[in-house]
Amino acid sequence: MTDSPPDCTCRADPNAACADWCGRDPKDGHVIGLFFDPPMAIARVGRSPEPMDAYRWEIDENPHRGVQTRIVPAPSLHLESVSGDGHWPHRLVVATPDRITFKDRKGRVRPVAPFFELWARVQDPDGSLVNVPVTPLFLKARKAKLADLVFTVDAGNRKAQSRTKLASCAAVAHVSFAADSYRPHRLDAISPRTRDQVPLVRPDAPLPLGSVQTFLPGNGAPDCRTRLDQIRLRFTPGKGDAFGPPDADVATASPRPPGDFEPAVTEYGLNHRMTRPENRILSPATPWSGFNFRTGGTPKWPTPQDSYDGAREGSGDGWGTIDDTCDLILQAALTLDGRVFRASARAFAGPPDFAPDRRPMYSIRDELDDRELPPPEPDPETTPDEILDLFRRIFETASLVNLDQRRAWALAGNAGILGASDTEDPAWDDGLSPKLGPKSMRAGDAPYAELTPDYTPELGDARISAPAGSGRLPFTQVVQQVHARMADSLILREFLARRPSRVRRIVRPPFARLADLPRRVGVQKPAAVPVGKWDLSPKKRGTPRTPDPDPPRYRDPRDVMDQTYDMRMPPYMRHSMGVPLSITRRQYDLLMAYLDRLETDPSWRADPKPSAAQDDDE
Amino acid sequence: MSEPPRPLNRAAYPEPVLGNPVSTLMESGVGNCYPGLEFDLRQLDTRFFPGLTFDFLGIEPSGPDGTQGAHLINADASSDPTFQQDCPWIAALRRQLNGPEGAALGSGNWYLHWVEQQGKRIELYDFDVFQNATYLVPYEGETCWWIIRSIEADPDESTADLTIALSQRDANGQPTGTPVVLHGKRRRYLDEAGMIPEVYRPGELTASMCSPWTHDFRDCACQYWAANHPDIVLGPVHGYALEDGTSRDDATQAVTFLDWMRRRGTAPAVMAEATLERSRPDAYDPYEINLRWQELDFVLQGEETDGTPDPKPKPKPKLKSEPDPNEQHRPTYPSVEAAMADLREELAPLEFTLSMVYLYALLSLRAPEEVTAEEHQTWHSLAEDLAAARQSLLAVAVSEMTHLRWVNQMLWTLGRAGFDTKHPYKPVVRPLPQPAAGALPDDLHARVRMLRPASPTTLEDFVDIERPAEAVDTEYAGLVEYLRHKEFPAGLHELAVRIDSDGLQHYQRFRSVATSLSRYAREPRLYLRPIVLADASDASLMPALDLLDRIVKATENGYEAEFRDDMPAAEAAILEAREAMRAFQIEAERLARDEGKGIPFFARWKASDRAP
Repeated sequence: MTDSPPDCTCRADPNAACADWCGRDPKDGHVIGLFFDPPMAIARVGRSPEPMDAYRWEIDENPHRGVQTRIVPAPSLHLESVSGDGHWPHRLVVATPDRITFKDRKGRVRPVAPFFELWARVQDPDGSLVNVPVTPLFLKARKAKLADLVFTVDAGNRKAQSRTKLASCAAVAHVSFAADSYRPHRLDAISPRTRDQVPLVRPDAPLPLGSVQTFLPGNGAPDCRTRLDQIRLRFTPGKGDAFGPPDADVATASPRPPGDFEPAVTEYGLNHRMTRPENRILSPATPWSGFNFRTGGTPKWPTPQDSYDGAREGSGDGWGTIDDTCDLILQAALTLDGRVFRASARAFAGPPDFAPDRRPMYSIRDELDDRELPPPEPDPETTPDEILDLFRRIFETASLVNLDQRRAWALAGNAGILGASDTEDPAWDDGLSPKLGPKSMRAGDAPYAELTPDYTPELGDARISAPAGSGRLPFTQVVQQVHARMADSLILREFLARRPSRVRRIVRPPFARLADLPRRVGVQKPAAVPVGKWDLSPKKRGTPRTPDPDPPRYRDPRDVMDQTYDMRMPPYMRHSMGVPLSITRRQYDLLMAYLDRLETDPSWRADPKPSAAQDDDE
Repeated sequence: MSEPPRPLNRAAYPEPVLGNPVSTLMESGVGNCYPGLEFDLRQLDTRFFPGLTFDFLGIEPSGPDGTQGAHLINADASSDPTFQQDCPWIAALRRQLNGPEGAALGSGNWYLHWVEQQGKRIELYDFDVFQNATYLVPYEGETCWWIIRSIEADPDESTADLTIALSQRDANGQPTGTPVVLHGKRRRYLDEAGMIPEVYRPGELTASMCSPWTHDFRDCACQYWAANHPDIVLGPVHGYALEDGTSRDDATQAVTFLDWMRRRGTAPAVMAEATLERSRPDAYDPYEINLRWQELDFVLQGEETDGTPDPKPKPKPKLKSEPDPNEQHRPTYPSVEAAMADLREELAPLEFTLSMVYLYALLSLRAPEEVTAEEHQTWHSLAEDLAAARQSLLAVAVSEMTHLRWVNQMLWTLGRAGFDTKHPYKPVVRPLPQPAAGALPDDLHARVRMLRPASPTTLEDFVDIERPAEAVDTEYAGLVEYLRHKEFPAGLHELAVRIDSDGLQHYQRFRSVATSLSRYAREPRLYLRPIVLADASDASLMPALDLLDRIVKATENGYEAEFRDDMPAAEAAILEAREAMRAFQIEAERLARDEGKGIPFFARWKASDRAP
């Protein structure tokens, strides 16, 4: 390793776009701060020792499949043992696999183990700020060593604690190591406790929440596309195993459908092992074993409260099981001239993404945006693409939904909420619109239902759409057919432009923001959706709008009728808080703004320019 | 044209850092994720107000006892990094929490009473009136959570815009004593680096998830979220795949939904059911899932698979009936005028014709309710097979009508873009011309234009017409290639892509219908109505043919209006066409069922093929 400024190899590639820091002298710039990229990442459990390779989303250009998202292999980082015997320290090498496989040869799921890159923000003498990778040369230029960079990782599984409200039922791990410590650092968690408490996880049998590792910086000239000399951390999650006390071995399962409870005596279910023998390491004598949400006096948060093994059978006593998932905070602390610079990132260990080319229409990112960003404003450059992407994601989610099951379940739930004794009676919801019983999404559900009854004339007003064993899912078939085409830009735009009132009617509004709720529920209605807010006025040559005498209103979480399931989009789907799902307020407002523009502004309806012209504009 | 084809769209997908799959991104996780996926975003709201932590308590098993609601866990300015910031409202809130208000909150049970933002005060209590007195009933925790979730982030960090009040309760759940009123702001849930701030301790954001994670992954009545946890899938392809990735050799693979949560081993290919209850016996049990979840299949493009396609697949042996892909001749157009002429003279009439031909075949099938009790005793699945076949045929017929619209849309979009000014756009809603006398039996127009009952031969012919790499398919594949060039409006070729990919689905549906009805091949009367193509002069057909005229006219008017960018007129015309279609369907069903008459769909077009 020399002290001379590196020459980036990507400069030799005429097709490569070098980063603005590429080839920069690592000595340059005054350090302002450190950060990790990404600031948050999801890890996904799996029992395979081989982590999942990298893959990207891209548009499938195969005309036989239609326009849809697919995944393709991407440059992946593989570990290469320096000694050649598989042992640490490891360097990272870049390789793009021919194909992505989700399980190893033994059928074990490959875990997703995210990397976190360490970056510094530096200021140049002209005042400009640049982000540069933290590398050994960067450290050396500032008279620091790898040992001056210390990582600290704190991981926790507090699932049992959140029910019992005892920290002695948590499992927490803490590791701290310098950047020149290349071994995998195991996140072995134990339960914090005071002298009189029994720890759920004992120090002699810790809970393995995974590991974190850093790597020997790569040799050779850096390339801004890979930058293998950059310092990285990797979190490898646990295997996804269940752990329990010694008696959490075999249990009788409820044979009832999901969400139902077995009567107090369980007789007819099958017996299953619930943990591996080697995972029965938890203390039996804690309040988590035998925890029962049905007994009075136990805390009624988090909800739903029946979300632990044992809740559904017999008296509902828990088996005292937890798993090896967690969420964690990674920290880097770099000491330069006595001053400490810190960076933090979060990781979450979740289940595998079993359909990785199907994206959620309402993702974690959407939820965070909805909470943090200001209200959206329509922009001709970005809004059409954003709405198209939303509809593509809607199709991707809808394509794997069993809508017939969801409908049957939701309509039965409506009958329960509103006190109808016969869930199959097509008339029980007489006088209500949209329909909440067997007429939902049928001809009698006009003006909400329109297309589906036309597509399924054989189907009567039935809650259950097909006989057992028929393999038919009529509603599912229709939703796939209809939403596949909405993934195309021209079809979507034309539909939204021609039928804005229809779209306003059939998309379920989100709940109102606080300031738009009435002071008391049922006395006044929540605010109406401001249809026309983004109109182009006729004075500016806008197309006069069709008046909408009954614009939609935002929903009120206190109003029971806003908690019933109807066919408005997304039909019958459930939010995690047990009420009908809508797209986020931000997505909804952007869609409504787009409709205003399409309806009144001819320039928004104009055909897209040829891409040659677009290229010229750019 | 020598320009390279352009990508299908300009929308950008988010990119993870080097080495990470996209499944590490927040975009890959479900936002509505309780209780079993990545983490629980609801936990953010437990610390919505700086310095305070809440639980959103639900109802006791014995019923509401006044303890439900947003319950204060602690009030502590010292452990919240927010209070390290230098800002007047933060200093004031710190003084409150370190002063009498904080002291009061330090003992007893406190509940959130109301929240106020932008002048709107919302109480976390419902109200009841009894003998002219108003009683407050605490909302349960989830309703309280929604109210808190609806508080907005205020971009102005310098002033307090949120006021909250906490109060204690008497034994009946009624607020009592003097409320503590605090002024502050809703917490920002992302810091400047884009991370959920460290005030949320490690383990806190997953604390409310189910334990173990597999519990709810199997057991949630919400059926979860299909993007990460599919409800229904297509089975894996064994053997060779068609261009769309579905099975070439198994007619059921592409049209049979499997229950993804089915127990592998003993229920390897169980079809999905229309209710949760019916799916239950073949699904993994609770506990069983804990050790067997890795058996669940990954799913790409809706099909179970072990990974992405092999980049160098083995060449597949050709079936006898399959055209040699090397001999495929995709049309290339010498000029845009030629392409538009193809759309106008060939493809639009082809789509219209196919739609009518498939409708005729649909009308030849008995309706499920026509199956007699006696027949049902012998042929248990007949009514169901008819229902399935009729839905499939209708879906394909409707799909062809949609294609007709898209072909017209391609024409008017090209017309508006200034191509082929010699032929200004005129709606094309008409069938293919009648083949000339003496046309060969394999002439595409002659084959397509025949109005026939859905006999086994007819269905096989429908399969052939829609077969990949056959004439219709290659026609559109050529169009896709042509329209992707830069001089045409962006996205135009997506219409051709959609038509082409639909064609493969039609092929799969017809294969499936042919297979399911083949079991009645010896007794066609079981599924076919004895209909005969009626003569156009038959007076009883007039209402149906008039309705057909109305459909055509209204559709033309709709397309014309869209071409002129008169969307309200287009909408009115399309709705009129739909209304006429519904009336037509009733009349056509009556004629077929009660009078055995098949409608001569093309009777009102002259041999010259112009619209009536």
